[in-house]
Amino acid sequence: MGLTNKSLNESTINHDLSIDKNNNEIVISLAGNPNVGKSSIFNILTGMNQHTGNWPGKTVGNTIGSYNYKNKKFTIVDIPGTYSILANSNEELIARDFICFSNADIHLVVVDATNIERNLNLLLQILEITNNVILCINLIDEAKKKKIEINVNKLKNILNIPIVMVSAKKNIGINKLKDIIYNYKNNNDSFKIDYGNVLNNEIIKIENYLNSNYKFKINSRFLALRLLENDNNIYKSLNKYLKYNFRNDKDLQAIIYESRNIIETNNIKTYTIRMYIVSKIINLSKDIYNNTITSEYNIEKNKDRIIDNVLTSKITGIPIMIMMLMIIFWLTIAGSNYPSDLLTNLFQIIGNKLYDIFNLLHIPNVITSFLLSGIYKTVTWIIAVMLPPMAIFFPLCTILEDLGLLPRIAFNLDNVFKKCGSHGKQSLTMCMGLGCNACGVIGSRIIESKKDRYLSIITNNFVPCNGRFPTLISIITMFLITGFNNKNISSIISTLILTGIILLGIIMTLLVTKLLSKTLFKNEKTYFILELPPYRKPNIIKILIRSIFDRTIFVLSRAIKIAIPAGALIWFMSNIYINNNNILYHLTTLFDPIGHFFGLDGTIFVAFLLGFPANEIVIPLIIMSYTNTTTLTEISNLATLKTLFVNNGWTITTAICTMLFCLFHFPCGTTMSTIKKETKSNKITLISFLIPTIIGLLLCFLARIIINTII
Amino acid sequence: MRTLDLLSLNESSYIKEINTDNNLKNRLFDLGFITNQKITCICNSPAKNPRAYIVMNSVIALRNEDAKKIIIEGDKDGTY
Repeated sequence: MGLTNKSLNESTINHDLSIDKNNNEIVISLAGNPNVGKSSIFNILTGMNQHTGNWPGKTVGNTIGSYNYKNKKFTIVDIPGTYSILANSNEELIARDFICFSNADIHLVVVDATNIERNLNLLLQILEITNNVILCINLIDEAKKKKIEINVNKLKNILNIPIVMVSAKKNIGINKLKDIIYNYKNNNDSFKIDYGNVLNNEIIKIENYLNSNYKFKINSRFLALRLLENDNNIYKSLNKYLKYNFRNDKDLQAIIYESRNIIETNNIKTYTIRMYIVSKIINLSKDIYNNTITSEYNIEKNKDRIIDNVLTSKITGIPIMIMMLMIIFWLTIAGSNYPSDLLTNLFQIIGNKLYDIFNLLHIPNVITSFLLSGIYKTVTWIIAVMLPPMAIFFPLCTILEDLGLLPRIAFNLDNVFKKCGSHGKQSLTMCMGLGCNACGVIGSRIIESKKDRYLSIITNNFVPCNGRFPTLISIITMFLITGFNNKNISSIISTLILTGIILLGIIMTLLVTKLLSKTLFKNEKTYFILELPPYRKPNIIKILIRSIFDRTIFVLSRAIKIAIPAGALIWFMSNIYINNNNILYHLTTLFDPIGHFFGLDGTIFVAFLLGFPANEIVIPLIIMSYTNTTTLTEISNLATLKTLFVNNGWTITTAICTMLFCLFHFPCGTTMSTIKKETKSNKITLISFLIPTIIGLLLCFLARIIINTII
Repeated sequence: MRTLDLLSLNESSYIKEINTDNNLKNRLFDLGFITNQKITCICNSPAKNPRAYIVMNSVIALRNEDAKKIIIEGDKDGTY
């Protein structure tokens, strides 16, 4: 659910899919069905912390990592998890193109030991492309529990490839896997699937032509099959990666045409060739499965079904989901109170000491002020206010993910989203948006239809990300829950208000989705097909380590990177004077009328504008602008902060309008550029900018009028 | 002969024919929806649409409008 350096870094694969490598370096591609633990294997081999989650579609795009074993370097490319590589979707196309056209030496196919029957389908498809496959059967601990027995020797004899049994979670078999990869020798026996006499004959005709006229590493039988079924994507990919234009090869086209005619006269309709091929592969998977695996496991009687019945029931399903959301918020709010205060105080003390030291060293006032009031204050505020909630929120969300709850949310909500003209998987991207909106935008790739994907991208910003939580929480604490002496009661009320705000965001998402799907987008045929994975026990320690050291640190460092220049900018703006007043004063005065019109003020307005690179810095910008002095102001807790805000004209109206604008305004810089990258459309990017901004301003205006009439 | 959306909760049957558009058909194939495959409805969402089915040892959720295009055949116990 979180953005990390790695998930942003997809540029290490060259355009022609070749990986830069040294002579004795081995490149391994990692393929498999979604949710079979591919990412776990990737992590355990490379030591890299790619984020794993118990739901299909976690890895979007290729991720690269490497490891050394016995003085040899191995580079692993984690390709998207797919059920098939017949290129029915973009992810499948990425996976297939990589297996076909990259310079990978070994293809490590990961299958789920508890679900080999269906997983074999993908393995067989890959074996049709290349002989250099190692089969890695993961989750053998779960299989053992479910009393599934795998006859590895028999399977090895049938498939004629090395097989390793592992459990990435329990760290079983990993060294054996490394050994087998290390000792791997190219395999020359190719695996052939029998498609019946008619097809077999035609395949051979095309193969013979290809082999005598072209030179390439790709398996000619695989290519012949794709040409027979008239797969447009293979033509495109051949052109893209090998610069072959098969459509212009008249002789080849003639052969294909004739073959398709012969097949048609043998009662296989040409448009069903693909299905004919797929059903042959699946039936073969079934045969292999029946011959090699004995299972006493009955998925229908599994205790997962009892949990499913509770989580998806009409009465308890949706209330439980909201409860879970609330528990996460409550733990985050209640748990981060104390450490936040502690950090604020600590930074205050250090700040004062630094100030003394700077004085002692006779450092000019300007520099002291720039470094301490400008940069130090902004950065420490962000750490103190953001670190504790993130360190609690991220692991909690990861636990939900690892348990396998997210697909159930999509399952429960699909009908609501469908009525709004969209897709249940949008709820998954919204969950990702809670962590980071840019992630939600990238994650929208899991939605197959373009229309639904665009709707999900445009509306993702209505879910407040982790950068906006602290702003919301601190305003709630300062202005909305006054008069409660009991800390527990006030944190519960904060939770309720925060949940209300999120629900408002969700309602707005649905409204805008409905509106856009009726106006901007043509009705596109969509379907909902989603695997509900087995519930899995999360590994708490691993989650803690990974969330804190990977995602939390990443998000925080991103915020700090932006906070330093922002702090510097604000300092300059408040220390350069024109006509007896500093630039910041001029700027906020300029925006003051607009700000007040929308229930805010000029400072808040400017803070949101300057907070475009990262929403985290909005509150520190407001504070700096209000204090606007060259000495370090003491803001040791929220009470003094509230006094500062009230002295600068804040009322309950300002608080509510600021929260509304925080929830509904333009996406941050990272999200905007991600939207542009994902949609390649200026129009969508502009819409994503305008819609939340207009809605936010409108709501703020209305809120101001309404609250001022009531009070 | 009836369609998959009519399969009641906890009832099993066998897939006979898939008449969806090719795109969805390919996806269903990949997930194990093939002729003569046993299928069991095991879960309703709160709105009873989508519903979840067990096919080849996995739980797959489908909307009723799509399930309507899948023909099933077989008695209540899932045997012919």
